[in-house]
Amino acid sequence: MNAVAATSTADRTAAANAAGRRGAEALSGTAFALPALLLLLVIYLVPLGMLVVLSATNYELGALDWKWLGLANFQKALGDPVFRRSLVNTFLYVSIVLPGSVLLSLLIAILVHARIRTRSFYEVVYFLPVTSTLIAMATVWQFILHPRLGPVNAAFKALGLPEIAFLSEPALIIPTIAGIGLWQLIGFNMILFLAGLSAIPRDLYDAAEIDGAGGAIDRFMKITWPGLGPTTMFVTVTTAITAFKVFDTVAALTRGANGSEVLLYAIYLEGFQYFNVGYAAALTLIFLAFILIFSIAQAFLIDRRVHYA
Amino acid sequence: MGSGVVLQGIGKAFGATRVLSDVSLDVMPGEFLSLVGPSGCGKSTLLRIIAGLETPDRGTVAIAGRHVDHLPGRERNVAMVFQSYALYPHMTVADNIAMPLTMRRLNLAERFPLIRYLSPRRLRIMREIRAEVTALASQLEIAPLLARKPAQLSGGQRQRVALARAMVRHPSVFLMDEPLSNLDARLRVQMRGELAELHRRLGATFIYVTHDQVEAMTMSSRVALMEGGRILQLGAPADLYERPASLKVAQFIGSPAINVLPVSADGSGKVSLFGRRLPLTIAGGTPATIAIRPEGLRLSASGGDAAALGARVHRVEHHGAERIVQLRLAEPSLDALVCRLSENEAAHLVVGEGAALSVTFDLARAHVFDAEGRRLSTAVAVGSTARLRA
Repeated sequence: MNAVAATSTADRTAAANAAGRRGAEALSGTAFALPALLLLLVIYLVPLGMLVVLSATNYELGALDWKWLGLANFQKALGDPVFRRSLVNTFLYVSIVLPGSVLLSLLIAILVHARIRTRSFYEVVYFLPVTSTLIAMATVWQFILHPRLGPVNAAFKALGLPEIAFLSEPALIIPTIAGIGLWQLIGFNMILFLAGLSAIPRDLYDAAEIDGAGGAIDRFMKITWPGLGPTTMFVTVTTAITAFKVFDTVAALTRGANGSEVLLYAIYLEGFQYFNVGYAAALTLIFLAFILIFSIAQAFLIDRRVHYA
Repeated sequence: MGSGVVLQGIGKAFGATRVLSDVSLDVMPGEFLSLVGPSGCGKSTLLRIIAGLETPDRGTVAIAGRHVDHLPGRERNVAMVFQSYALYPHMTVADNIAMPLTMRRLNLAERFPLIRYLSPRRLRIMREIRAEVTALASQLEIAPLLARKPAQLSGGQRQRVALARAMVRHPSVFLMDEPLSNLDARLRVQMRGELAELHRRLGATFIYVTHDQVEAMTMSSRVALMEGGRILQLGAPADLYERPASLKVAQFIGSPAINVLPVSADGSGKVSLFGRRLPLTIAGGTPATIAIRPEGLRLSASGGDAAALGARVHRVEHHGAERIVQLRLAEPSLDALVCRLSENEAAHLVVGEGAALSVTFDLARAHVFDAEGRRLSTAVAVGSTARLRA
């Protein structure tokens, strides 16, 4: 009888201990997550909530009164020619920069990876643009592409070609800015691809050689490309987001002149030049929605075809 | 049927490091030949040269009587199994095994994404390949794994898939680069038996690289022991064990390692150990060491034989059917010796730690080497089991 009581007491103590341990674990777990959670709240979630609220008002910076507009800001955006142009420009920019930088940096990474002694030299050469300040570099590009002073047009003239105004001819502005964007992004993506290439075991190429897949195309199709799947996925998503956020080159080179507004620049104009905070908030929400849709679609489409080792 | 592989004067250096110097080797058709040696001895490089993955600086490779130096690996009709298995991680087991066949039977357009669906014969070829892969997989007992990816397999299963990929196109030469070293001990012993059985059944030539002398000795018809980019000795496993050509071979082959003691000889070639004359004479040369396998030691109770060396038991390992006894010689040398005793032999002795024993040698099985480690021929004077003489 006593023995039974003793064991049941022991059981109860053990259970209490276990419960206590679980409680302590939950507490320390929360404590560990708290700093990240706080930052997430302060930096993302609260501002996002304010953004949603503001987007439904006609609030102007410094104004004393404001009223609810509901979805009117969004309706206005649909008919706004500047916003529509900035949307088209941004998509054009992304459609050049995204495939261009992924494919070019992959090609360069494969070429650089094959170098043995000169590899680090090329790594530095291609990575340098990443380390530069884009605003400062934009000024350099402005000089290089200048119709009368720049070396590019001087070269064109020497070859007997007509002078080209890269940064004022409406049809050329976005492709030119996309070219500068490519120049800046390729080095970074190349480094990511180089890391991905180094992670592919050399044995696989040896096995492929023996199995008859030793040719350059077969090696790429059977080993390199599948092996780079996770890297490509990451590079594509980050490049897409970076490209959507194009701003500084436009701000430095054209200030949106000649129909060269992009999404972020249009938001900047509305919010910080014209102080239409409510309308700018609505545009920002639309911008966020695009990035979100794009990232999720990419993740789903690519993720299914990517093999994670 | 297997093909012969003939290597002549192979030399290879990576930068300033010489990996192989003047290696010649004649592998018989259908033979199981092991290249064994410590890491960095050049055995893997030699295998990769045969496979066409590495180009030698000097020398020629011939497979089935045909020079293949100018041919890439895929045209040499060899298959290779890698230590890491080198399975394609993004492909299913079935696709991995099918790879050598699809690469050979389908042209580039028929393997290319999208364009491949235009080929009328592609489906038929794929069906044939699938059938061959399934048949081979059930033969190797991996049929239930065909739809899995390599990451979902155990080490032993990956090993079989790698074997299947090598076997699928019936090559005449199998090259194996330490294929068992990533397996646990139990599985390694099992796979050893299966590989030997596979070799017998296929009749193909196997060239097998390993640093594990047990693998080399148990499976091979011949063993080439390599060190420093050269072949030290080539012969049947028993040859290497019983007639090592040099002290290095004697010391590498055999576990526990062979006992080595310093000896000297007088002008007439009579050999002495620690100043005691052995009933052993040398035909020529200056002996420096004598080497005796652990089973060549005879132990008896101390004091019974004045001619024997005195020793003390340092440690005893029980291995079930045998005991390995570590000894320390008494004065004057204090050398360590190791002795292999069957349980029968051990039954007649008190073999506890610290016990004093007498040691004699089975000189018929002793090897004498000169200062450079070269084998010297010997003649035993009296009987087969001679005793040390004072």
